[in-house]
Amino acid sequence: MSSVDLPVSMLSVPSFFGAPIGDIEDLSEGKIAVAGLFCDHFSEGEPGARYAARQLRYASLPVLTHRPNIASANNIIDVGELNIFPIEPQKTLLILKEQSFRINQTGAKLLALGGDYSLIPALVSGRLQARPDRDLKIIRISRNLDAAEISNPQKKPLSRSCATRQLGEHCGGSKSITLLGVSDSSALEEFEYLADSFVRSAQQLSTSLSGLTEQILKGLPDKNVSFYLSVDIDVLALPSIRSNSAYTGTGLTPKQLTSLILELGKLPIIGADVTGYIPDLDISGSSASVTVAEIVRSVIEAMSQESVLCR
Amino acid sequence: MPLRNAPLPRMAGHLSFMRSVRAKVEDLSPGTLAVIGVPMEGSKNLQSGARFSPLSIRETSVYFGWYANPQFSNPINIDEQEVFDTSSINERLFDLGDIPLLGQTRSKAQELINHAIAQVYSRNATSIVLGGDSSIIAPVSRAIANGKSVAYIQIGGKTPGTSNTKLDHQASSPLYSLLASGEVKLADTCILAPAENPSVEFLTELSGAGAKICSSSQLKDMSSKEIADLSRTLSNRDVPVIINLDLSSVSSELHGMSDQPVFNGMSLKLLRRVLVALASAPIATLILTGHNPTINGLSVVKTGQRLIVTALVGYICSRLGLMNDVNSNDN
Amino acid sequence: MTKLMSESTTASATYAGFSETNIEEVTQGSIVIFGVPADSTLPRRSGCSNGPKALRRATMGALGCYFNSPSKTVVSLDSGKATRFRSEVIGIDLGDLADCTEVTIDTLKQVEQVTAGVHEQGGLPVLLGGDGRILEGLIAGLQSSASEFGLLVISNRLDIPRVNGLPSKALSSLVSVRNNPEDYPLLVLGANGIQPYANWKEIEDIHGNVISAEDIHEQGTEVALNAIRQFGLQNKQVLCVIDAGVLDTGFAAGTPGLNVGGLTPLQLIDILSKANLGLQLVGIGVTNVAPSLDARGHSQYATAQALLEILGERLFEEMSL
Repeated sequence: MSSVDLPVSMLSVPSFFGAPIGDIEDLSEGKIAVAGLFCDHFSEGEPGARYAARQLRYASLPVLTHRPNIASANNIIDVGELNIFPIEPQKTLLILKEQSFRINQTGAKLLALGGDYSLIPALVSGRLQARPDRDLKIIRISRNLDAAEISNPQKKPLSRSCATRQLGEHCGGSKSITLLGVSDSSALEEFEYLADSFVRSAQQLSTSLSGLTEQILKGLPDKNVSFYLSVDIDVLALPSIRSNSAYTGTGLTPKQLTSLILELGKLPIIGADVTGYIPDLDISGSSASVTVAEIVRSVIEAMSQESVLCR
Repeated sequence: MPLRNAPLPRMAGHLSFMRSVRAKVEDLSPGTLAVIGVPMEGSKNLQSGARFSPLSIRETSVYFGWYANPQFSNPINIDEQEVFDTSSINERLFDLGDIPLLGQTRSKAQELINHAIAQVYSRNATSIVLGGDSSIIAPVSRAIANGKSVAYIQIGGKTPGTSNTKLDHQASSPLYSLLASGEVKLADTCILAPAENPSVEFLTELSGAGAKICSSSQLKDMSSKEIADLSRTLSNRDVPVIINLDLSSVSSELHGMSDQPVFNGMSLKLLRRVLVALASAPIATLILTGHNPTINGLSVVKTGQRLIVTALVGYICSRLGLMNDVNSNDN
Repeated sequence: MTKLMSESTTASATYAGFSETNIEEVTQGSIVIFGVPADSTLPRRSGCSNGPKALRRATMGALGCYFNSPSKTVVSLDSGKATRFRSEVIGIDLGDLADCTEVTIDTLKQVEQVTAGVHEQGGLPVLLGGDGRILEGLIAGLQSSASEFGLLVISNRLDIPRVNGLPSKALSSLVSVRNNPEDYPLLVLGANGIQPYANWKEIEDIHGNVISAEDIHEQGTEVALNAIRQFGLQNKQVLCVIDAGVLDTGFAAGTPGLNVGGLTPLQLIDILSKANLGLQLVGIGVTNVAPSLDARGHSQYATAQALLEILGERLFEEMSL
């Protein structure tokens, strides 16, 4: 067959890091299903995070990044956006839980990108339903505690401000929560709820990460444990990268954040999310998206690492 | 059972052109229409950014995705009060993706374009090529010509000073290189709404060869049948017909996304009418050029892209034979 | 001696491909371009300092079709007329004035000197601005060297703006006082919005005329052309000023001020293409082009085309086919 007859290899539509686009039948043990969350209005703060998944796909394009992709080395599959129902929070909660359950049932890990933190408890509960035999702990990297009291869960099942408390309820209480990167000022009631949690501020983390993972494990009675990593872009101290929390001038640099995430990769991470990023939608905003894409890349690496601290 | 069992919000998920099926060349057949991106631009443009055009067009085109959705198959054109059946678009419109050109030398890039377009054309499918700037026209045309010649309809864009003498102080128009290489004969050329007035030399050559050239004002006065006859006449000569749609054909205040503004160009309504009429003939490919989405910076709702896709939807429906006969003598 | 930053234009094109030379080379009948990159100040938006460069570049774009033709002749498809670019015209580009990035008394003095110098040597001074305030220097330069001339201002304002501590001035105050009641020293086209009554009254008092943008929208460009014809009959010499602010902001936002309801680019170009004042011109000024404020580039392109149209038979020749 001459070269003219050979089929042309085209670049498909943008996907996360150029990963193959697939569905549930393409998932199995060892794969990471990367899904977008096109939803940002169930909590307070500036809207726009719904476009994060799309902009992160663009930020993966060679025409913008001028670098090779990481997809093949890390076995990721882009499964598109998860279904949500924009004006029906209860239905959204249920369908997110169901989709997360189905993905986790295949043995694959789920990485959710975009949207905001209010959607994450639904994904985590889907994971727990798929693998009830595993003890699941939460590592949350964010400036905020988001541990307000849950009021009226029927009327407002999805709310960012109490999402950490919801996660705690799913995973056995506040001692299952690790909070990293918090700012120095938070509501007292939220701090009181997290009295048994492992909490470190951004300032403390920027000093040293040495021994962090051992400290996280130290307080846990059961070493046969898995971790869910939730990263919020609001932890960054860069005004050029917008998040749905107001910029305060404090936080981590992107390099500190990626170092932190890679350090956490020593733990067995079975699911993750990166939320809270509000992208600039013009081509000129692509530099912020490329930076956030690097953070996502570090999360994928962390999820792919063989855990050295837990069995 | 697939992961999702509910529809997605419009801007969510993988953004193929008009939410059409992502396909490979092998999936094409006669009667299908393939959309291919060629994100290439030269270094002579005043502002760079044309290489982002395929991406930005796809992004905006998802707002028109319901055309390709079999659940919504009988839209009405509210201006003409005409219902047409789009149920087959889902099975006939495919997005092949972009030709991978980044990092390639110019000659290698042209070779890749040539190869990809030749493959599509060999399946007897028609296509829409999303450029890029006008540097993609020559390799695309060459692929379809395949050693012979093609007929060329240029909408907008610049005309050469003359087909015979190459001048050295302005960028040559793409038509010049096609004429010089023999892939296009002057007699098989038609120029509509050029961005600038033609030189007297080129106008004389066109008239001598019997080729047509019309301004946007003249097109406005022509009936749809007269416009359709322009492409039908060329297709009756047994050569493949290529259309180059350059965004400079449209008045710049409607989009602001061309390197050089044109204030007396076509309106969207006229452009749609022209494309629908031309598409009634068998067109091998329509090449979109002259669109730089980075110029205007209008955030989410990109007016220029909306304009282009609105016009292209009319072309697609007409090219796939879904619209009424364009033999009307009405304007 | 006025300093010219000719080195600032060596890296980019000169106006219409004119030769870049000194004021001493100006001869009778030559078209002499010089730039004044003086910026606007608050409360108006800045950006005019890039006006001269943008106008030069836009002009080259507009003339591209002429330069592509071996005979420098293009044909209008609509009218069928053939027009040749007179490449034999002596055109000189002096570059931009040095140290003129702000509008100051010194800047105005420099503009006045260059204008007077060009005019005395028989050239046609064409100023590429720059903030609209520099018009005062252009007028002063011609008043010192030329006999009486009429002032045709295409602008949305009836004054030149306040800038850098220099107060605004009514257009009527810029023209020489004339005693003959038949005189018609000032015509303003495109005025728009709320204007100071005093400015309006003074224009009436000196027998000037104002055609508003609204008049042109409602009655067509013919109302402006009639006024220009009358004006041309009563003034042997005309100084024409094109203020980019006359353009509607929705079409061309690249000006220091905002103008909602102004002229469209097509209206401006149409009016000046039919004005037929080319041979009566003693000077031209193009002001208030701020390209960075218009991502689409419409402001500089529209104004550059307007300037080419007003130059008319000085630069172009109608040919028979």
